Amino acid sequence: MLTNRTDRPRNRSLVSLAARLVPAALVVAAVVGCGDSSEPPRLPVSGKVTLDGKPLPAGQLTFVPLDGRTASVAEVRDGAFQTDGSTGPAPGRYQVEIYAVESTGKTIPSPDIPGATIEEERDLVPERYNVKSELTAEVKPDGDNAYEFALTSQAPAARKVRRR
Amino acid sequence: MLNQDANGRRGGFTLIELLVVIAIIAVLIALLLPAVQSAREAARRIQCTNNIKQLGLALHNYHDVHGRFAPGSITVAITPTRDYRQPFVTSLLPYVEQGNLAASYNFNQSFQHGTNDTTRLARVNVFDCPSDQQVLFLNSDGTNADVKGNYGINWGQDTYGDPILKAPFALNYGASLAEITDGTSNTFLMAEQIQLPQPAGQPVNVIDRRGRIWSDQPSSHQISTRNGPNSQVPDLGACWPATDPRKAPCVRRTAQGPTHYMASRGKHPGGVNVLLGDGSVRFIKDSISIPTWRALSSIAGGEVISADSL
Repeated sequence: MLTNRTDRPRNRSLVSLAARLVPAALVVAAVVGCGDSSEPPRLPVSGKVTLDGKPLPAGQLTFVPLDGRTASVAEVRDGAFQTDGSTGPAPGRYQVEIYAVESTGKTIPSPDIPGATIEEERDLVPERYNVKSELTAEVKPDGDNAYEFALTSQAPAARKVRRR
Repeated sequence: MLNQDANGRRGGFTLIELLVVIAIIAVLIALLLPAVQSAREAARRIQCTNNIKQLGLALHNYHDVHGRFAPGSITVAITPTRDYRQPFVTSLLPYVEQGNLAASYNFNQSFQHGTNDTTRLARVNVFDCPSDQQVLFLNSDGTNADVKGNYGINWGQDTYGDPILKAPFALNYGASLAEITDGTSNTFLMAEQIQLPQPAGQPVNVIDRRGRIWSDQPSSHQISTRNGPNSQVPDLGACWPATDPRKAPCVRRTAQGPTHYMASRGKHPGGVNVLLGDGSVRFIKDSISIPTWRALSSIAGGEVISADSL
């Protein structure tokens, strides 16, 4: 029972409480402090993608790191894309790959499931913008990081396009 | 009363002191529990390492018998509308003590033929990593079609259709040791992959092919070193982006198989188990430099790989 306790012992117990809590708090801080702080900060990015002057209806845009490990994927909708600060790329240089397919309207047999069919697709965007991409972008720690990618379905006539 | 001191106070612990002790114990448990959990993961990782080591022994035994490593997949067009397809895993079965399973497989038919249904559904422990879930690939009616697995094969430096430099495995091709002029300890044969489940809430013909060992199709178990282990860069292929966007990102496409690529992925923190050509297993860190990772995948690229870069 808590009876006839004067202020002095109470103060002493508070002091001893603090003396015990401080190491415990340090331990907690040490554990929490070693969390996932290794990732560089991500930044929001946005931009526009056009194909032959018209907005790209739908696709995926990937930031592939040229230095560092942080990559980012953004959905392209009606020629625009944006990521928020949690999914965007970190500052650095990136190769940009833009993937877009459209249905040809035909169905073909599924290569995986006998008897099932899948929609046949074809690429909207040429290889030189995705698998063998020539697009690059630099994400700056300060700046609005807005990009514009104007794609053409025909290769430029003047030079031969080959990444490697 | 009991335990009274000279001032008449009762000796013992106050409520606050008890609470503090309980708090300290809670902190200690919170410290200890993750350690116990990571000990479990360490055990699973060792099991996983052992499995891929066994597959290495199987590949070398296969090499002793046939003079080459097992072919990546066998696809032969018999007529324009009919072809013969045989996945990589079938060649290994007799060498992982699954002779009976190999005997139950009808090598005269493609792997998807009805006579091979039971063979494709048999789980073999050596193809599964205990750190990952076990996933079944489904038929069009939702019934089980075949088992997925956790070990993929080295398919070169870029895409399914363009390895850039020759890899140990390709369609209808398995390298011989003599062809691995980079040295067997500087070339990897197999690496880890994860088994992805059927995309949630999708029709059954919308599939995630990654982890499918019973398939000859691209982006099923053909690992490219275009991107590093556990890369944040999405795989390109018949996969599903929403399943696990952090650990298994994906850009989906069903057609254009030659453009597909798939990175090595695993459930262990920090890296993946990789089987080198000499039969040794290395834990390759996620942070391996991409040029080194690509040099490891070519069999005759002439690259110099410094031991401290692995």
